[in-house]
Amino acid sequence: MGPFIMNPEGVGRIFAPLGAFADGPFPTFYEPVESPTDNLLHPKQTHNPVVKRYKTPFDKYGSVKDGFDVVCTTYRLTEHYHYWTKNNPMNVQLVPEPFVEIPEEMARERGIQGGDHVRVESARGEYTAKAMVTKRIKPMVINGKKTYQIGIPIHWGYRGIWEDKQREEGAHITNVNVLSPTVIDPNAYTPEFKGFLVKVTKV
Amino acid sequence: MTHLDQVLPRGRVLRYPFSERLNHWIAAFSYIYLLLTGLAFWSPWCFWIAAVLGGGQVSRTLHPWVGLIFFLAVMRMYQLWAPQMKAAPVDKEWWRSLEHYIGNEDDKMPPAGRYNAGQKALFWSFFYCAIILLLTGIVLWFPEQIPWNLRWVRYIAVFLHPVAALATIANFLIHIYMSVFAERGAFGSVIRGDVSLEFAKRYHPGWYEEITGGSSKPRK
Amino acid sequence: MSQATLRVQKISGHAGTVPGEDTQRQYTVAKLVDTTTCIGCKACEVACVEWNDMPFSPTTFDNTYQTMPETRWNYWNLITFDEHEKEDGSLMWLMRKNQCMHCAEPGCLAACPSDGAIVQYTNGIVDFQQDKCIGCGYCISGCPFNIPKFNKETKRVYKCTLCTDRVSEGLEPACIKACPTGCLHFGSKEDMLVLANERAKQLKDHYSFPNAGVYDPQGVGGTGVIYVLHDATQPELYGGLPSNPTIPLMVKLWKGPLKWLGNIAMVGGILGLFVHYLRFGPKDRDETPSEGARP
Repeated sequence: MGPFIMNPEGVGRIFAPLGAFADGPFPTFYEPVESPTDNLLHPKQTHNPVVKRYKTPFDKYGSVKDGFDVVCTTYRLTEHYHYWTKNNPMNVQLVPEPFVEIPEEMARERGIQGGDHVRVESARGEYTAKAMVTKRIKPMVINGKKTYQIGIPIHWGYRGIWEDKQREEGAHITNVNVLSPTVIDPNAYTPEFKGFLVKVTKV
Repeated sequence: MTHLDQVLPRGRVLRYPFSERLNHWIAAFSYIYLLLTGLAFWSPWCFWIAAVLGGGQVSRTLHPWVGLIFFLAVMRMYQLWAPQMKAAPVDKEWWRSLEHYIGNEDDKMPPAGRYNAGQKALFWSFFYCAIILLLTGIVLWFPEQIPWNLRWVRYIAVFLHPVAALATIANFLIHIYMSVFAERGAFGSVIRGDVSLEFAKRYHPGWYEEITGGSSKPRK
Repeated sequence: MSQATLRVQKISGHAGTVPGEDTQRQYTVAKLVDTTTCIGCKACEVACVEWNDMPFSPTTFDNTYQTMPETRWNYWNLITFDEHEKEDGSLMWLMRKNQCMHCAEPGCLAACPSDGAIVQYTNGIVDFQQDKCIGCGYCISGCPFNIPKFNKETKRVYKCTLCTDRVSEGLEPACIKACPTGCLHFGSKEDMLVLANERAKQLKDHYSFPNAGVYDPQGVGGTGVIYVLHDATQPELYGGLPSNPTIPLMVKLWKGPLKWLGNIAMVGGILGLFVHYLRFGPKDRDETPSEGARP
């Protein structure tokens, strides 16, 4: 007989009501649904088995084998907030245009210079913006293979000070959120917008 | 461009035709404006001059435009007189006899042509200074257009412009003194255009010989 | 009115003495910018624009987080961003708040020809008085920090005022107030130096920044804005901060020796010519004047 006699199931778990956690008694590590590697802890179950996926025609997933060899993450800037500061002249003055942050090494390999347009594609959509070449992102070595990560700030959309000017010139506008997968954490319902796979090409 | 030095009635001879006189006064009046506004920018003790001439901002705005006019007038002078201002063998002697010239002993001077060595020096000094003033002046006209990594251009301009201006001021003082006070009769040459034959004989014997057909010396 | 004039200790293009020079007990104020705790959030940039009601101007993507390459006539406060790779391979993202340094010996004031267009108050703040500015741009050449910027419509130059309107009412400058990390401090120069040196010592002793130090360049007599730098031996890494700024040599020569030489030469020349005329008179003094000579 084990010590956890007060738990109905008789074995240990985090101190929370039974069934409060959708995916297991203790936290463990899972790779995102789109990942460049298998889960080193338990390769036979790389992803969270009860992760929620939306089931629209847009909800496709890609892998490194399909050519999506670059890890992508999305994040916020200090100078903007969500999707309303793109309408405010002061914020737009601070950061006027959308961009994609690209590691220096990767930019050198692919002949991308700061300011060049790059197209980022995932299994779900594509996004084109200017490249910011930076030393701040270093390449990763995953399972002995050099893997790059890029970062995309989220704050631009369909209308805004910059967007409206682009429309006047007939340019095509997309939102970075078409790239990320709508995969939801089963407990917190936070989406997996910060780790997915893309491919990057210079336009 | 040539002009005929005509011997006129009553012992006069034409030295400068109308267009040359006009050009001289365009240069002179523009120079005086540049000098006055320039002095205002040069020294706090003279800044009040700008106030009298329409204010600091107006002076700063007009100074470079008038500078352009001055430059064009001086370039016209180059066109007109440069051939006559070329150095000649007699000029070296003139400089050696400078003491006599200062002491007003013109009889002891070697015979000067249409222009003596001192006038030639003044001409070339004004000419080169006008070019330096124009080039540095353009930098000072639009200093905000010079980027930070080329700031040495501004530094050179800010120093050379007053240096060249001071040189022209020295020229100016000598020129006024000589033409208004020292060589009486000279002023009229640039107002009415003519001088007396006596004047020509005393100050420019070489030129006198030419115009009275005395010698076959070519005009320098 | 007398209060206002007594608060001025230096005036540009001014002949004679200045009523406020050495007549006030007031201390020099200073802004301390601790670059080691700056997060580059730009709250100070926004505060400056908002406090001074400055009109917006277009910016473009330039491969950096820096809002624009240089300050503008309508943008006086700018964070510079520099990615610096150290010898050991580690990376530092250096952020420095760039604005007028309010030098104790301002090059802009020295170069300015217009009486009263640039003043230095007894608290050390250097202020442009645009109504007296003639738009010549000499201040642009006098400044070793590339600060004064020209507005081609109004034909005047503008720069950070160290919020003299707030300071004179006992408030801290707008940028100081807005900073969320507390890396900006404001107070007397003495107090700021104490704070700065304490922080530099802390960085050296506890944070493995052996070259940490305070940037207060003596080449311009010290500044009203001082920095704590991770590496005070390499200020250039921080958006081109000059390591030994001085008033440019050509400006010093022009306003110093050339002024003296020029004035002596001009006055001496005029007097000399007058004396010459007294001594020698006109060239034909000893004879009858040339016939028909008329001035």
